[in-house]
Amino acid sequence: MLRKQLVPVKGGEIKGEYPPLNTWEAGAVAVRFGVRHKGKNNADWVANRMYPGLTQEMATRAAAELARQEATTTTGAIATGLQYDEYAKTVSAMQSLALQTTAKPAERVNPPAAAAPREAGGSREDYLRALEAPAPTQSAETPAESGAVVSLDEARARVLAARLAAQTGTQAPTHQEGPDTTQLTPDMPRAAGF
Amino acid sequence: MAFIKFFPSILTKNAPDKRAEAYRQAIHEEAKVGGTVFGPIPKGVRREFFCLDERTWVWHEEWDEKGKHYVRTTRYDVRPHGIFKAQDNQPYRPISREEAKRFLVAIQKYNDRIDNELAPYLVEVKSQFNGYL
Repeated sequence: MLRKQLVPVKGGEIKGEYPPLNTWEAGAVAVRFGVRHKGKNNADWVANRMYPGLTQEMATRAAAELARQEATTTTGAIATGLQYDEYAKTVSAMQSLALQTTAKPAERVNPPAAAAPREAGGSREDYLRALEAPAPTQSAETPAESGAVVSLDEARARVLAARLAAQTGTQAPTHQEGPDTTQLTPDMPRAAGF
Repeated sequence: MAFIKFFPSILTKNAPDKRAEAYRQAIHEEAKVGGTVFGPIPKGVRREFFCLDERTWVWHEEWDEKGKHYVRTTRYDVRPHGIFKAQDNQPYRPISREEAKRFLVAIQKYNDRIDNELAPYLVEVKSQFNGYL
């Protein structure tokens, strides 16, 4: 009665059909629907009374399992073809690697003191003096060698320093020699050549 | 009508008998579907799980082993103060928390599967019984 009947039709094809119900069968289906669902509700209610929090625990677990499955299929499998856990580990590792390769060189070659006089409202002389002062030597690598990114202010300062050096005949400063410019103050002696 | 073979004597009985016969047949069909909620049924095993009434659930299993036929019937009674289980005429005893979880899962799957099987009928029956369901 319940199952779909497989009925052969013309041409040898087999078609699934639901045979019609008579009055008694329809009545039985209707009554059984009510009995089954009321039986389930009774069992849920009593089980929860017997073991408080049981149905809530089951619902939470089912929801968590569903969420995990959805995350695996939508995030992991579609994006990378990896399982979700592996995907999360890969992303984390990539982020760590990106921080290591960009943040460290930028810190080395971009001393904030080089632009400090201008940012602090110093005079043109202070600014030029700061440009001429040697950069700190925290690393044996040059920026070009390390492939580091140089800030815009640093690049402008280097170009300006090179022009000044060409005009005055002095050597353009490098970052591999001289004192630490982080200690630069307006009271320091003026660099030669300007 | 192909399904009439399941109801061979309906046409010859009076109304209460017909109603009872249809009801028994519906339970029988539900029990077969219910037996599948625990996974594939091994060959030679007859397994049925069904809701007998609003407070009683039955799990029936028959199998042959070493030339002997075994029958085990487990009955779950849902009483107001707890769910109790009786197996093979043993005294009733309350079920554990883990068994209660598995029991509820089985009931949920049982209802889902039967509703799914009956989906086309339920639409028809709902219209016939004018929103009874």
